[in-house]
Amino acid sequence: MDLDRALAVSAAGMRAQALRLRVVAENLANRDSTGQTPGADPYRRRTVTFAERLDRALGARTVQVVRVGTDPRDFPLRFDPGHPAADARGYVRLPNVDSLVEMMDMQEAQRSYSANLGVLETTRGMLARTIEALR
Amino acid sequence: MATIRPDPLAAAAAYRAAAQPASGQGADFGAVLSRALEQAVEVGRSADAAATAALAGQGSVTEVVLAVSRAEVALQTAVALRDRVISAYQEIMRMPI
Repeated sequence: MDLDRALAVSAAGMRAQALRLRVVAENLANRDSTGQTPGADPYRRRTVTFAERLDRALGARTVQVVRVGTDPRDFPLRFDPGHPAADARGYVRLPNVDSLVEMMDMQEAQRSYSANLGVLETTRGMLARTIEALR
Repeated sequence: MATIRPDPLAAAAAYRAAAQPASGQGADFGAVLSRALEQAVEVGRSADAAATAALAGQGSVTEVVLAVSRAEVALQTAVALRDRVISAYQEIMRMPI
């Protein structure tokens, strides 16, 4: 039944956005995670990639996170000779996490989650109202 | 452009198929209702399992919402059907003979 499928598709969307929010949380939490030894790499920002997935058992197209990749952008440098990860010139490589970008990503994940939740609630309401017609 | 041509043979075959009594396929309404109830109980069990897993910290809240919604819909359908059948039965019992 299509309404039942809509429920499952919305749930898949919510799952995908929850994973995205988890990645945003990881990025924000590791915003200051530098390496421990001189020249070691700091935390590299992670990105999520969504893709359509044909669920044959369900007979509908759902969404899933296909890959949690890494951001190849360069690490910013900070002059801090006392840091354990400082190189020979006294520079520390910092994670390439931009908190503004992460905040925007978080907002998007939240809005998308809410939209999927709205579809779920509407579907449930439609099902309930249809069953009410029997009474 | 396609035209609709009446086909008496096909129409007769369709009518015969539709006029077959439902009991010929061994599915009377009571059996269907009991199957619907069994299915509702089954869906309820899976909702129960999802809720237990989430409380134990294994499943996700999304799964619980989905499973409980499905169980709710199945139960509502079964209850509505049962009410309908019982009211029809009472209607027949009240019939003056």
